[in-house]
Amino acid sequence: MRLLALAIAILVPHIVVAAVDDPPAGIALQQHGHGWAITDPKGMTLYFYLKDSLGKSTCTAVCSKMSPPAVASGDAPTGGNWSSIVRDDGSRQWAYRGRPLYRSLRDSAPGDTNADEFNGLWRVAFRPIPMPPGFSFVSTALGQVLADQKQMTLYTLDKDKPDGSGCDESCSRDWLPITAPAMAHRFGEWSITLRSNGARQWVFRGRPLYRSAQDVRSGDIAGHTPDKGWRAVTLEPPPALPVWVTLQQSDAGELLADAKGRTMYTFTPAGRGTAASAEVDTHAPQVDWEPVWAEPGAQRFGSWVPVPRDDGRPQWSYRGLALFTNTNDVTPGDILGVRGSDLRFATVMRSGAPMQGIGQ
Amino acid sequence: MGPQVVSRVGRVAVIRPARVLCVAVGLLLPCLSLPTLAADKTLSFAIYDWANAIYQTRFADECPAGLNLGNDEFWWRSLSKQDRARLTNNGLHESGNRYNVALKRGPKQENVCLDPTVINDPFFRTVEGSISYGENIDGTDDGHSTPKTCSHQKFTGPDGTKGVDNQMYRLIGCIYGWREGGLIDPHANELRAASGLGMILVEVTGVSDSRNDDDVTVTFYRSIDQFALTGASKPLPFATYRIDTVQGKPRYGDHLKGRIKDGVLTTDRGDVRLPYYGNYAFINPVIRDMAIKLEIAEDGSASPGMITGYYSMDQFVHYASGLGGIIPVSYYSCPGLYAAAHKLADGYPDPKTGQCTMLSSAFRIAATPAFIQHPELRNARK
Repeated sequence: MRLLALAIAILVPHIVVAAVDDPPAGIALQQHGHGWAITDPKGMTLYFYLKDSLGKSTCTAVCSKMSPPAVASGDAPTGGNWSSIVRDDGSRQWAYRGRPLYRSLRDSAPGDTNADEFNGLWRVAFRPIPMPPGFSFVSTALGQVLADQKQMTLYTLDKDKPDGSGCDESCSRDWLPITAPAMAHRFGEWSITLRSNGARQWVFRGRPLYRSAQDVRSGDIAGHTPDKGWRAVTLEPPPALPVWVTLQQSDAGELLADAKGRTMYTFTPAGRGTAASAEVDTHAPQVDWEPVWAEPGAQRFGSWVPVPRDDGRPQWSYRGLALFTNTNDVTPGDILGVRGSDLRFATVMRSGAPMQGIGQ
Repeated sequence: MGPQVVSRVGRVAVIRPARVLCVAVGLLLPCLSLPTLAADKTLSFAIYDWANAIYQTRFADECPAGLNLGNDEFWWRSLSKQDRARLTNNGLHESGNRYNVALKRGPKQENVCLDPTVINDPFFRTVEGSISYGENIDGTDDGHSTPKTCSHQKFTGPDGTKGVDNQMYRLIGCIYGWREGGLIDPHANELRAASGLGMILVEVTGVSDSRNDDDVTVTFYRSIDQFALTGASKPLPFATYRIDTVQGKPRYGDHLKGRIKDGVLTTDRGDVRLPYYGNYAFINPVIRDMAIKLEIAEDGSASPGMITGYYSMDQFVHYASGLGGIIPVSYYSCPGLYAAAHKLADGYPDPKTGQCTMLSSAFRIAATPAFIQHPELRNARK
C-alpha cells in the first residue's frame, strides 16, 4: 500500500502540494482566506510582471521607475520557492517560484493593490491555498470563491456529509458534481467521496463540491441560494465598502455608486492602462463629469482615499484613480458615461472587470 | 396541443412557440416556458437586430443637397495648407487615425463631440423627402402642435400610409453611417450578438390562437445570457434565455396590450423601457408611446418587424456623439447633429422651455423564436 501511495505521488506530483515554506527576510506573507499575499516587510504589495520569464526580469529603465524591483541582498538566503535573480545591472531581485517580484509606486499604503491588472501586465504576487490541479478561485460579489479550472464558482450543499452526497441523480442535472480523477487522493483539506453511480467527487473542507448549471460566466453566483442549502465556497469575503458607497444593479452588472445611487467612474488621464504617474489625477473634463466629493476631514478607508483637488477641496479616489459621476446618469444603475469616444472613464464593478467604452 | 406543465401554483400551461418543434424541444426542456392560464399559449422571441428604419432611394433623392460631411472634412477644411500637411503627415495620416485630433475643433481645443455646443457647424443636411417608414404616433394628420407634441412635418409611408411621424429619420437619414453600407447599426448588432449585452426578449402571453387573438399581452425583458448562434453566426431559433432579475423580479418588464390578426402582432401604445447596448455604449431609454408590430409565421418564426415611438433626444445625441472611432467612417458633425436634433424634436415638450425632448422614431427589428426562462419556473419543475 505504501508503495502504491508512493507511486501515485511520483506519477501525479502536482497533486502533492509542498509544505508552506517560510519566506526569506526581505519578504513577508499576509494571510487571506484564499492564500497569502506576498509583500515586502512593510506590508507593501509585491507584483508579478507578466512579460517576465522564469528567472529573468524584463522590467527595466522606465518600467522599473514605476515598478521598482524587490531588491535582495547579495547574501540573501534562498531555498524552496524563494530565490533571487540577477538583474541586467547586476543587482539582485527577489523571485517566487522563479518569477521576479516588484513593488509599485501606484501603491501608497500597506494593502494597496492599485497596480493589479494594470495594463493587463501586472498581477498581485499571491500564493493560493493548496489546491489540486483543476481548481482555482475567482472574484465574485461574495468575495473570492473556490472555482474550477474555467473559473466557474463551486458550491456545497448544507445537508451533504464528507462521506456522501445528498444530491441524487435528479438533483445533479442542475448541480454538476466535481469529479476527481482516478488517481487523485486526499490531502490537506481535500478528500474524495464515492457517489452512488461510482463516480469520485471532490470534497473540500468536509463538503462535496458542485458547479451550478445556472452559472454562465466566470464570476456568476446564480447558484448561491443559502435558503435552499446551496452555498458558494467563499474563501475570502469582499473588502468592506465605505458607508457612503451603494451597490446598484446595471446592465453591466452590479456596480458601485455614491450615496445617491449615481454610478461612479474612475478616471485614467491618458486612457486605459497608460497612467505614467503615481499621482492621482483629478483633472477630468468638466463637461458631463462631476467629482465625487469627500467630506472635509474624510479619512482613508481601504482602497478609498480622499485626495485634494487644485482648490484644496477633497475628492474621493479608488485604487489610485480619481472618482467621478456623469451628469447624463439620471437613475441608479445608468451607465451613460461608458462611451467609445472616451476611454478614460471606467465603472467600478462589485466584482469582475470594469466596464469601459471599448470591447471587454 | 403541446406538452403541459403544472407550475407550483397549480396552473396549466401549454408550450407553443411552434407546435411541432415545441413538442420535441418541450419534452426535453419542460421547465423553460411560461405557464399561464389554462388554454393560453405563450409566444417568445429574442430580438437580434435593431436598426433605425431609413427609407432611401438609389440616388439619395431624399437628400437633395447630398449626404452630410464628416467631422474630418470640417476639420481639415478649417486648416491652412501648411497645417493640413503638418497635422496629417502630408495626408498620409488617414482620417481613421486622426479622428481624436480632428474632433478637437473647439475654440479651446475642446472635443466637439464630447461638448457639441462649443461651435456651430453649418450645412447639416436633413431629409427633405416625403416618404418614410413609421407610423402616425401623434394621431394628427398634419403634425400640428398638441400638448404632447411640437409642430413638425409628416411623411407618407412607402405603402401610402398618411401621417407618418419619424423625425429621427429626418435627422439622421442623410448621414452615411445610418444608411445602407453604414457601420453604426450593423456594428451595434454585431457587438450585441457577440456579448449578449442589451438583448431584448419579447414575450406574448394570453394567446388563445396564435393567428387571431384580440387580447394578448406583450412584455419586454432583458436577457442576461449570450446569444446562442449557429455555426454561421446566425441566431439559433428556440434557444433558451434567462431574464435579468434582481431579487427574483425582472429588471425590465414593461408590457403593452395587443392583438394578433392574421398572424400579425400589433399593440396599443405605451411607455416601455428597453435596454440598449451598441458600439460600446449603454443606454436604456424609455420609449414613450411605443408600439410593436411583428409578423409571426405558423411555425413560430417572426418576420422582421418594427418598433415605433418617441425616443429620448438627449440619450440619442449622447449616444451618437460618443461613438468614437465609428464617427470618422460615418460622416457627420456632432455639433450639427446636436443642433438639428433640438430643432426637429417633436415629442414631449419641456414644460418650462417648450423645447420638445423626444424624436418620433421607427426601428426595424428582427426576432427569432426563443424560450424565456422565468426564475420561478426552475422551482416549478422540482
